[in-house]
Amino acid sequence: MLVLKNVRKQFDGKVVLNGIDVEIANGEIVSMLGPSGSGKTTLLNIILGLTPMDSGTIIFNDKDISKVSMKERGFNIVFQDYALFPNLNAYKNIIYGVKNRPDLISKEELDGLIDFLELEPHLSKQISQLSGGQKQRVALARTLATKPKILLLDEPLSALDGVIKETIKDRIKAITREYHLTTIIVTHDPEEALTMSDKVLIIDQGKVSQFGTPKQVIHQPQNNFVEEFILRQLRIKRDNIYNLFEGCHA
Amino acid sequence: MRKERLETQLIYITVAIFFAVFLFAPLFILLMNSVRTGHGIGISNYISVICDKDILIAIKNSIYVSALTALISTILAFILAYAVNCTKIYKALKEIIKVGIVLPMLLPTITYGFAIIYSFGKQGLLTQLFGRELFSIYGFNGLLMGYVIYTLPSAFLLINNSFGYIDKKFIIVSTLMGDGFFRSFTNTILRPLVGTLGGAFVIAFILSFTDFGIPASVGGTYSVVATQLYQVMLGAIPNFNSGSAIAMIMLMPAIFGVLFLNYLERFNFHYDKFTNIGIVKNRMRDIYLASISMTTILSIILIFLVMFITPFVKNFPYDMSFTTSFFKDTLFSTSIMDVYHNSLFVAIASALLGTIISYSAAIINVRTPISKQVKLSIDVFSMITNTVPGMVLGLAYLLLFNSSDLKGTFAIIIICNIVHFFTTPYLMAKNSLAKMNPSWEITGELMGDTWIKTIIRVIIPNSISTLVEMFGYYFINAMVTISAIIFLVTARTSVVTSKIKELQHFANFNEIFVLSILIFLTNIGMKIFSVFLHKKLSFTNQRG
Amino acid sequence: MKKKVKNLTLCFILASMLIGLVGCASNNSPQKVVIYTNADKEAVQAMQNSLNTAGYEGKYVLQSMGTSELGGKLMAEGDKIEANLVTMSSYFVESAQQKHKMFADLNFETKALEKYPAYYTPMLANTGAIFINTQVIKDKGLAMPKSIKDLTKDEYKGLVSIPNIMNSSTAWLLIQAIISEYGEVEGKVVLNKLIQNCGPHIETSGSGPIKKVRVGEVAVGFGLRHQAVADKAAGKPIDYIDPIEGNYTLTESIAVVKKADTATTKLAMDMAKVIIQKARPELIKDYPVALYQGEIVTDVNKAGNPKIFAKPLTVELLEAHQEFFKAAK
Repeated sequence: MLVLKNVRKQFDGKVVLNGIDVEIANGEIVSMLGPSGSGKTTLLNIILGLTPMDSGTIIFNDKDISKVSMKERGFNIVFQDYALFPNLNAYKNIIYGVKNRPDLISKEELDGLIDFLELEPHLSKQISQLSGGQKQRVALARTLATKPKILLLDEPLSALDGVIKETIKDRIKAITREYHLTTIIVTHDPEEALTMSDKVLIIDQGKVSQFGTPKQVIHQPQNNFVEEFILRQLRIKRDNIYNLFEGCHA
Repeated sequence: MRKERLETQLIYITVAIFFAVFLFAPLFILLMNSVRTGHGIGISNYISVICDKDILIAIKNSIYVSALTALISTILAFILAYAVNCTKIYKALKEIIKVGIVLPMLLPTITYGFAIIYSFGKQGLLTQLFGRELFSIYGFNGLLMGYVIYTLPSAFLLINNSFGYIDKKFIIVSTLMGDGFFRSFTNTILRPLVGTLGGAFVIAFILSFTDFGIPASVGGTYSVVATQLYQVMLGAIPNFNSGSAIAMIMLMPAIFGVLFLNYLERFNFHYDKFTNIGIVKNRMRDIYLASISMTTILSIILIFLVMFITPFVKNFPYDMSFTTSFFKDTLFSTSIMDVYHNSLFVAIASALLGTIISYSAAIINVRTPISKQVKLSIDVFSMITNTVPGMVLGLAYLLLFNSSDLKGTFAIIIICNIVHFFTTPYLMAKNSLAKMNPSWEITGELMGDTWIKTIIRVIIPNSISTLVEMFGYYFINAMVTISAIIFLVTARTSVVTSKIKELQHFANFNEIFVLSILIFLTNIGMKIFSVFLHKKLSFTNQRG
Repeated sequence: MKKKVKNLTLCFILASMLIGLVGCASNNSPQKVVIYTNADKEAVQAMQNSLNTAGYEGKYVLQSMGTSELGGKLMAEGDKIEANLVTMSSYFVESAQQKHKMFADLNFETKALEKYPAYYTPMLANTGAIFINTQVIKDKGLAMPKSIKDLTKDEYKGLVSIPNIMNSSTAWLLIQAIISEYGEVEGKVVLNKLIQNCGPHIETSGSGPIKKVRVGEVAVGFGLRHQAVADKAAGKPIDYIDPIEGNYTLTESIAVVKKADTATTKLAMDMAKVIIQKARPELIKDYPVALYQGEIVTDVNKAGNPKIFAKPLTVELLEAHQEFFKAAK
C-alpha cells in the first residue's frame, strides 16, 4: 500500500502541488490524469524519489519513505522518451541493471520477461534500428528486470502511433497483472487513463479533483472540472464514433 | 533539486583551481606588472607606451590592417559559403571548396609568411610565372594577404554553419511572393545572417590583431602590436612592465570583440532544424560563383605550393633540378628530429589532458544538477580563455612562473595550450552532451549505477565521436601555435614552430619548409584518423 | 565494431602515456648542455662539427637567436639563464659579467694574439663591408658605390639593404663607420637617407642583406665582408667594396655560465675548449680574421680599410647608437 499524505511542492514560489492525499493498494494500476501543468509529472517524480517534496509524508507498506533516497526506495520508471542507451544493443540495455545486481533476477525469469514482451528477435539490434513500440518494450523490460516495487510510467503511449497504442496498452495491463505490480501511469489523455487503469487520479491545479474507478469517474463526476474537461470530450468522441459506425451499418 | 554529488563537486573544484592558477593568477600578475612603476602603482607604463611613437604607429597599423582583413575575409567567406549552400555547383567542386579552404589551418601562421615571400617575392614562384613582381609583399600587402588566408577558414566555417540553419523554405516563399533577386537575397539570406557576418568580422579582426607568426615572417618594416610586444619582451632591453602594458592593450580589442559577439548573438536566428530544399536553377549565378570560389581556393593552394617545391630543388629558383638531399638532411639531423618529437609530445599531451579537462567541465555544466552560479562560472572560464590572446597568456605565464619549477618545462607549454584552446573543445562537448537524453543518469542510478559508473558506461561511449573531434582540435592547434608559446619555449623544450622562428634568423627557408611539411603531414594524418574514426562510428550508429 | 573502437582508444592512450614517460625520462637523464648562440649558420655548423667529432653529439642542445634577443636574456636573467654555454658578441659578454658576475673563468690555455679577460675568449671576428650584385648593378645601369654615403643617392632607392641595429650587431659596424666618419650631426642625415633608400629592406638578421643581394632582390647591401668574398670566389655575381668610411670589426666570444649544477658546467667547459681548439680551422675559413697564434689568412680576406672605433665598445654605447638609429628614421 502506497499512501501519500498532504504532499506539497513549490517551484520558485509557484505552487505546483497543493496538498495531495492518495492511497494506492498493492497490485493496482493507477492513472494520474490532468492537463499539462497540473502537477502530475511532479507528483510522479516525488513518488520516484527524484524530486524532494516541501512537506508531506509518503508511506509505503507501513514504512515512512519520505526521506528515503531514490535508489533505496526500489521503485523504477519508464520515461516518456525511454532513455535507452544508444551505445548498447537491445539486450545489453535490458540487462544493464542486472549487471550491477546479478542476484536480483534469475536467468529463467529474465528469459521469461523477454519472451513475454516478444523481444527475442530484436535482442541483438541497435537501439536506432528498433521501432517505437519495440523501444517501448525494451525500456519496459529493462525497468522490469530490476524488479521494481512500484512501476512508474511517464506518458507511456504518447510517442507511439495510433495502431500500436492499443496493443501496447493491453500488454502493459497484462504484464502488471502477470507480475502483480503496483503501477502508476501519468497521462494527459482521458481515454487512455480510463481504459487502462483500475483507478484514476484526476489532478487539477495541484489538487486531487477526483480519485476513483473509471466507472465512478464516468457516472459520478465529483465536480465541474471532471465534467467539463474530462467527460465532455469523451462524450464527443463517443458520439462521433457511434455516428461513424451507424452510418456504415446503414 | 537533488543533492550535489561529491564527485561532481570534486571535479568542479579541480577545474576551478586549474583555472584560478593557470588563468586568473597569471592575468592578475600581468595586470599588476602593467601598473607597477619605479615608485609604486600607477599608469605611467601605459602613458609611456602610448606616448612611444613606434608603439602608437604599431597599434594604428594593427587596427587598420586587421579591420581591412576582417572585411575582406568576411565578404570572401560569405561568397564561398553562398556558393556551397545556395547554388547548384557540382558536388565535387563544393567538396573541394570546403576542404581546400581549411587546409591552411593545418599549418603554422609563420609558414604563411614564408610561403608568400617565396611566391610573390622578386624571385618567387608566382613572380616567375607572371614574369614580374605583382606587388611589394613586405609589410602591408604581405600582412594583409597572410591574415586573409589565416582568417578565411574560421570565417567560412562560421558562416557556412549558419547557412545550414537558414530556413530555405523562406527562399521559396519569397520567390512565390514575387520578390526580385535582391529583395529575396536581402530578406532570406542577408538578414538572417547579419549576426553571423558580424561575428565572422569580429573573429577575423581578433585573429589578425593578435597573430604573431605572420608579422614575424612577412611584416617587414610595417610594425604591428604583436611584433612590438615581442621586441619589447625579447629585444635588446627587455622591459617587462612596458610589455605587460602592451599586452593589456592587446587584450582590449579582444575583450570588446567578445562583448560585441555576445551582443550580436541576439541577431542570430535560431532555427532548430537543418532544412534541405531544392535550389532554383540559375546558370549564370553558378558559373560566376564557381569561378570566384575556385580562384580563391586555387590561389591559396598555389601560394602554399612553393613550400612543397623549394625543399626539393637544388637552388630555388635558379637551379630547379630535383633533389631530396635537403629533405633528408633536415629529417635526419638529430636536432630537428628532437624538436619534432617535442612537438608531437606537446601536441598529444595537450590534446589528451585538454580533452579530459574540457570534457569534465562540460559534463559538470550540462549533466549535473549543480548550482546555476557554478555552471555560469565554467562558462565564464571558457569565455575568458577565448578572449585572452595567446601571446598575452604566454607573457602572463612568463611573469608568474618565471622563478618557479615550471619554467622551461614541457608542462608549462602544455598547460598554456590547454587553457588557450579550451573554448572550442568545451563548446563541442557541451553541445554534444546537451543533445543526449537528460534521463540517462537517473536511469543509470535506478539501475544501480553510481554516477561515475553511468558516465563511464553510457555518457562517454556516446561521446566518442565528439571526444575524437576535441582531441583532434587540440592536437592540431597545439601543433601549429606559435603565439601562445613563443615566450615559454626554451632550448630544451623547443617545438617545431619556435624552431621555424629560430631558423628564420638564418633565412634558412629549406629547413623551414621541410619542418612545415612535417607539421602539415602530421596534421593531415590526425585529420584523416579522426574523419575515419568518425565515419566508422556514425556507420556503427546507423547500423545500430 | 565497438570493441575495435575501444581498443583503438586504449592503444592511443597507452601510446601517449608511453611518449609521456619517454619525455619525462629524458628530463631525468644527465642534463644536456644548452648552448645559446647568436652566431651565423656557418659558425654554428663549425661548432657542431667540432663537438660532434669530439663525441658530444646528442649531449648538447644548440639554440640560435638574434643578438638583441640573446643580449636581452643575458642582461635580464643573469646566471638564471637556461644556457650553460654562450657564444655572443664580446661587448655583451663583458657587460653581462659586469652586471651579474655570471661567467666562470676558463680553465684552458688559449694562446690568443691579444689579451682577453679570463672568463671569455674570442671565437671569431667579423668585419663589415659593402657588397653588390654585379648583375643587378649592370641591369639597372648603376654606378659602382665607393662609400656608404654613395648608397644614399636617389638612384639606389629601394635597391639597398642594411641590417637593423635593434636586432643585429652587424648593423653596429655600419653605424660605427657612419658616426666616425661624419659625426653625429651629418651622420644622422646620411643614415636617414640610407634608411629611406632601404625601404622595406632593413633586415633583422645580419645576414639578411647578403641574401637579398644574392637573389637580386636589391643591388647593394651592407654586411659581413667574408660572406661576399666567399660568394665572389664561388663564382656568384657578387663583389665586395671596402667603404671609404672604413671596415670595422667585432669579435664574438665564448663563455661558460657559472651554475650550481657543477657536472653540467664542467661538461660545458670541456665543450668550450673543444670549440676553441678544434673549430677554429673551420671558422677561420668563413671568418678570416686571425685571433690565435699561428693562424694565417689570405690577402683577399684582409680588409682594405680597417679602422677601430674611438670609444670602447659597451652595451651602453650600443644603446646610444640604437637611439641614434631610431632618431635618424
